Amino acid sequence: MRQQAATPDENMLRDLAVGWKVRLQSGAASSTDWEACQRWQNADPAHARAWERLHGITHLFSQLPAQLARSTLAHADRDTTRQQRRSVLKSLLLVTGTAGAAGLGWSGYRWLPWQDLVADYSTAIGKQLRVTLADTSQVTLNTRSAIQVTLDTWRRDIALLRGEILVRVAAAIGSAPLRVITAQGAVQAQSGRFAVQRGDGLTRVAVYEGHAEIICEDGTRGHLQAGQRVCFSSHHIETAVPLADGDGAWVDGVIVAQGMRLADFVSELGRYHFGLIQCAPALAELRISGVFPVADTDHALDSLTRVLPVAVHRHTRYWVTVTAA
Amino acid sequence: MPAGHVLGADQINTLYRNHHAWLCGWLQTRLRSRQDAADLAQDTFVRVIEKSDVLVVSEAKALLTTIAKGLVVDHFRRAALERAYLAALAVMPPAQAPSPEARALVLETLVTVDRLLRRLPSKVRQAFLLAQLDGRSYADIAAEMQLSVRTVQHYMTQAWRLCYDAV
Repeated sequence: MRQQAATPDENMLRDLAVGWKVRLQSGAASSTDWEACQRWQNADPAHARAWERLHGITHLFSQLPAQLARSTLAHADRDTTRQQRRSVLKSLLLVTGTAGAAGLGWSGYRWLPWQDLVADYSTAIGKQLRVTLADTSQVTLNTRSAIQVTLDTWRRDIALLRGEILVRVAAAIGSAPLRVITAQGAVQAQSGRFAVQRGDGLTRVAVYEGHAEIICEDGTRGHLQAGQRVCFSSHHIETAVPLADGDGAWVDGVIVAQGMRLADFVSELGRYHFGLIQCAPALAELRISGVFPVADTDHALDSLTRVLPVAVHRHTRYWVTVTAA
Repeated sequence: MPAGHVLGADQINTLYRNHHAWLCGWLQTRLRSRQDAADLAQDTFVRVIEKSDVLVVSEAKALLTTIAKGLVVDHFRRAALERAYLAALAVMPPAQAPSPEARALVLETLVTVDRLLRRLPSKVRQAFLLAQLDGRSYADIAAEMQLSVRTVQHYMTQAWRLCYDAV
């Protein structure tokens, strides 16, 4: 949630944009109104940005099946109301306003239990899983990943709900390309081997064999050859870069570091550790090299202390910090 | 993990040692699940560490409590939405339900929308949903909710402003 102190100008801009939205949406707007709104948007890039911001919300609603959304929200309201009656929660709900206003919503929720419920295959933290699909394509799930698979006459779709997968596509003449779908779009290939990882607002793709096509949510398309990797958002594909030697090493259960920043290494290792591993900021720029098994994060951490002037503190089973020795 | 934007290891250490136990206990009385309490305690600490450059130690408890309260409310709301969603899907004719791979995404969108609309008065929210989900005209909504068109307009303006500020 954005929490900035809005200036009077920004508030005015918002109110103008909202004014147009309300007029155009009322059901009583004429073509003159639409044209006038278009002129207003064209008059100033700031107008266009404000309009775009409202459009994002309209887009959000357009993705919801009306009946399902209405029924879910109404049910949840009744459910929440019942909960409110319980005394333990009464005091808590009084603070909802303040907590919300401080920007402490649930953005960045780290663990989404339902993603395991709906997933066909999922892995816990620190685990990997290799599955063979009905079309003989092979999928390897990395740590804390979840997928849902739809295979039929027309589709070979894998929805990547969380984490990272490597797909070896079984080439089948006349069949649909295998698609991996994320929140930002889809990656598809007729054959070959590629990895897809969900990030924060971004999807990362690496192609090891063959080539793949990227389709962003807004329809933007791009191609990726073997030996390349790239990040894409829902509307933009970054420039492809060559694969690094360590890319894809997770399939063999290791992290390959070559002059990797300690901060990056710790953050990568943290994906395989239940809890939090933290690196003291002063040590962030230390460089390390080596091959570290991810199945045993404790061992990997301990091996750090042998090569670098660092100490590993285990506050609890979940809480680990790497500090100067 | 952005360097320079986090607390020092010593501070984290102290924070954790002084506050982890009572926070877990506090959360457990509210969530009635040791596992959920441990998860939310962990989330609370992560928030504090990620968001604070410096921490005034005397205020740590208040800060942790405020964050934890917000997370507990979110936790129950999210759980309620998930239950409602699964129940709604269960009674839906299969032909009308979203495809399996779209289900998770629809739920995610619902959670976002719910968060946007949560702070609106219920009538405003109801009117707004009729317009956004069903594309009903304001005159139509006014008739259904027995309000004047002017009031509906006023509601919509209120809802759009709040959404605008929240995204």
